[in-house]
Amino acid sequence: MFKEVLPAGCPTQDDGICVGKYVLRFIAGPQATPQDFLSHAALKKPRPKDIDLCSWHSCSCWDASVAEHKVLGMLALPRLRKRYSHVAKMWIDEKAGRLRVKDTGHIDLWMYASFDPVASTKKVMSLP
Amino acid sequence: MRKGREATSAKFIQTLVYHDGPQLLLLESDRGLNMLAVAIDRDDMENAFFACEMREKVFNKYIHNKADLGFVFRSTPRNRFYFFSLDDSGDGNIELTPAHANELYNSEYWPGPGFFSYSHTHDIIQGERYPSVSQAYNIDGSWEPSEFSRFSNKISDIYAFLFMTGRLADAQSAQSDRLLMKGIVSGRLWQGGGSYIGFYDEIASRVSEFNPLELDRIHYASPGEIVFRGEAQVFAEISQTVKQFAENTEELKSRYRLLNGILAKEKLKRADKSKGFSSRALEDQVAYETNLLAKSMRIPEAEKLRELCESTVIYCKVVLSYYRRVEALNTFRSEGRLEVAATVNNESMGEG
Repeated sequence: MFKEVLPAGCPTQDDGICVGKYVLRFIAGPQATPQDFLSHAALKKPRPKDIDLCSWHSCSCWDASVAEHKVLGMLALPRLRKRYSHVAKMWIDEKAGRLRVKDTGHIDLWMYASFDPVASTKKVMSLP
Repeated sequence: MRKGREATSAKFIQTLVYHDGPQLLLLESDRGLNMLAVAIDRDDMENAFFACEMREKVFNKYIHNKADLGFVFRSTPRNRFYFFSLDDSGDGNIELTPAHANELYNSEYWPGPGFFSYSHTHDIIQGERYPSVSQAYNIDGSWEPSEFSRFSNKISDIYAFLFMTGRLADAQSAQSDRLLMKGIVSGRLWQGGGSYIGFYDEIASRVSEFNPLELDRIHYASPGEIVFRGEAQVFAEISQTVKQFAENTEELKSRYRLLNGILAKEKLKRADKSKGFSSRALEDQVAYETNLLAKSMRIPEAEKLRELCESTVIYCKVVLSYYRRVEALNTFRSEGRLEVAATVNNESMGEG
């Protein structure tokens, strides 16, 4: 059972099961809140036509092992820079949910209903 | 396609960064130019984007990680910035609102430094425009650092030369590339090494706007490999050229020596480029022999190359300079230290 109601066939068979790793998630303040981990679909934001429904329902994170400059480079994008002031370092394992990892280190995460992302946040760092 | 001073609409091409919603989009303006658009927050517009329209040269620099997104926006003329709401793009057609000069001072709209195309979350799907593959050259024996550099320089020169001469046959690009090549050739004195280095550097610079040769990695061992990224067709042509050179080394060498000897005897090797041959018959012979050498070296569009050169002397010098680069590559091969196989990893360049 996932935290959000997902479209049929989502996640796909190709999407993986979480193994123990740290991921990074941009958040809006010094304390992580459940609101920080909602998908764009849950926020009822429009979906671009080339973005699949499954990605739209995911929570975007970054593999923490990806070079820091690559992740921080995302903050060069104006809307991300304006909205986020901190980054949460969260531990995920097989109880967290399913995920799709890209070569860039970007992760689409679909969380199980039982997973608490706030409790799994081990550290919150201020963004430069 | 519109030809006005400003674009009025754009076509949605694809999302490049999707992280909590679309953050960076690729569009094509109604003037046929690429546009990059970043998501911003504006009180008077839902799902707002700030976009700039750019020339192909700047776009290619960005796509090949030669410049960051901040550079793209900063180098765009002030009259090529627009706003739009993605909510209004139902059928993929987007109405653009030109940005007023005072709006351009808002730093919240501008991308900061350090964002390169390798960070895209979605691959560029214009694979046909920017196809790029890996080409591994197997090496063996002992290699000095200067030899790696010499090998890379020769490959780079040959790649650029084949890429550009190959484009002379392309009807769509021929006109602009012909003019550009003509400018590069006529801008040189052709009196010594500097002219040749400058010539190859300039054509490599032009090639970098399309599909530059990139050194991917060097794995130094015996045996090891040197891997480049670039266009598959050009790599295949390099392999064929070296193969043909290896099979006809003596014949090509004697033709090179003949032409080089004539230039030396006529004191044309370091002469002012306005100087010509002492007789029309000799010039005709050199033109004939140069054509033969060019064809034996598999130079694409040799006739068109000849037309771009101001004289037979310069045409001959260009072809001889290309010979010397292929010969240098073949020397590594004949020493057993290099294998020029036609093995190409056919993976397209997507995420920059």
